[in-house]
Amino acid sequence: MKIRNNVIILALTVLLALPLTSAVAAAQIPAERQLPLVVDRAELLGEEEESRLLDKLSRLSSSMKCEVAVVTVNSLEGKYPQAYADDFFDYNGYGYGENDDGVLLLLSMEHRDWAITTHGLALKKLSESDLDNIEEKMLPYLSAGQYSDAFNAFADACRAGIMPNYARMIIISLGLGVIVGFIGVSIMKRNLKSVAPRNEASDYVRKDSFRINNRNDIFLYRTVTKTARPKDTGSSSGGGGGGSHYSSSGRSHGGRSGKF
Amino acid sequence: MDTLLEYKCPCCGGSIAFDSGSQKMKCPYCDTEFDLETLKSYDEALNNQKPDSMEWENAEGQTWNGEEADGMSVYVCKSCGGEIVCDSTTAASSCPYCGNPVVMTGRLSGDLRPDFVIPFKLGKEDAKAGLQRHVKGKRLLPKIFKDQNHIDEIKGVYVPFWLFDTEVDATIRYKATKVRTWHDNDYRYTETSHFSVLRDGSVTFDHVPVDGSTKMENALMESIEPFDFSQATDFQTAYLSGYLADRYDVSAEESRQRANQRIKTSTETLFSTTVNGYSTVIPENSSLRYAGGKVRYVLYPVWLLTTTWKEKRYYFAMNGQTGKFVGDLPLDKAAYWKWFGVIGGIAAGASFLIQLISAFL
Repeated sequence: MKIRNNVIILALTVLLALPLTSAVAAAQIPAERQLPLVVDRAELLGEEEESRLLDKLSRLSSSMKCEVAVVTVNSLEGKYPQAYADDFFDYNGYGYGENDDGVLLLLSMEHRDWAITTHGLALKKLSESDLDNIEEKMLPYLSAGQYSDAFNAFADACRAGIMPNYARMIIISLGLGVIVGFIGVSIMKRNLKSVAPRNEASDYVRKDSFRINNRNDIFLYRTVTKTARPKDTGSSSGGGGGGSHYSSSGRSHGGRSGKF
Repeated sequence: MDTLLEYKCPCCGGSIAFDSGSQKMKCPYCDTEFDLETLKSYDEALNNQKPDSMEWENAEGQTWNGEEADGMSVYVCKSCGGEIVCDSTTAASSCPYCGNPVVMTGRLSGDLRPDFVIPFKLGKEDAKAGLQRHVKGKRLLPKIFKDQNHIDEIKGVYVPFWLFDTEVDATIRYKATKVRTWHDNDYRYTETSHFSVLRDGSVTFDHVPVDGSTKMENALMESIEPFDFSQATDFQTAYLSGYLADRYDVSAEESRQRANQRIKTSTETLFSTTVNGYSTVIPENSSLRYAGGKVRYVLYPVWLLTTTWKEKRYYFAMNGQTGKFVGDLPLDKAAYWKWFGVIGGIAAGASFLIQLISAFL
């Protein structure tokens, strides 16, 4: 009886503990942001530069309803840059609103690593090509040690990727309008024409008079050509979200990392 | 005895010799191999090729009899040279082609007499209604054109047509291919099998019409086709009363070419529908033999309407039997751009809205 009770207690403990583990992980993600949008632990920015950047990121975050943050550290504490950035974002409560929409740039001076992590709206909006653009704009400044300029370039490129591109929308709409309009009036214009020569006489074929008396299909020869098949590399990933992964908290993140 | 027979290669046209040593046919130019039997039957098909023959019997050549000719008048327009035949009770006040007053009258003589006529079934009011229907719903047409008062003239004219009847024997040869593709790990293979396809058969055409008047634009007349010949009756001068009749000025011989061309096109279209199951089909050679070709002279009923807009004349024609109404209409440039703006604007707006919605979702 006692043994049986112990088994039951053990089973209950395991059962209760299972949902608890994920509850603990979830509890570690604070609802409110614990740190400012600029965390300069590596002290790369001057005081004025830092406050100006913070200003810019705050304005950008509230206007896009998507937080843009910059974090610099001296060491990754043995983690991979991408994982460090993901965890920094998650466990410090970064992200706008319920869905924690946001993008964070991490710089680690120890091995000159950079990593960008995206979540929520930023994950959805920033495609591979947007990330390419961000990298392209920011990396030259990073390599040159112009950190303030690099962070500003990062913020601007994020904005370009996340905010709807009105200019492109208008150009596409106008182009489509011209094409559809032209097709429309062309159909109307064709309605005006009803005179055309008739080059056939199908109306005058006597009913059932068409007969084929002899049909002969002769096989002549065959040729075979071969072309090399492109090798399947299987590396293509969906365009929209730019590919995503799961962080240690179990939430999905996008982004990329590299050296500068 | 190295060579025995000589054939043309169906692939490249080079001469192929039969090599008795290997018992195979191989083209020395393109390296294609053939069965001997295949080449034999292909060669037979080539040799059986017949030239086109498009012979026609002449029109029967009935002329007007003296009594009939007495009751007819011929009007000749001094302005455009158009000749109109009508019975002497009908007064033609102006030329139906160019609108000029008719100035000279003459007497009918020596011409061929029509074999058949399709009497007018639709009247002047039908022609007016036809024009109304024709301009309806045409948004790019100038408003003023829809005004009925704008019609300059409506004339019922019997237009001369040559009718061609013939039975066509045709032999058409096609080059056809079937393509099969498959692949293994490294390569994609495309196998093209070439065929020589022969179709031999016959088809009969009845009453293919060719406009016999140079004053009538051929395209306009072909656009109101078809006429239903089963309603044609033997020609009587009585049918002409109240209408104008044009006199043919294109001979049957001159009209033949057009009939031949139309019959050839239709025959080739019909034959090609019997070549199925191939990836590509290209006609290589076609030979048409017309047998029992007969030509007849008929009058078909046509309503002609003319209107003037911006100093340009517009011609309309209505089939006086079926009511089919044709005629090119002028384009209102302002309406064109207005509708371009409206349609394009709606499309652009809708596209912008869809993009906006999808950007914020």
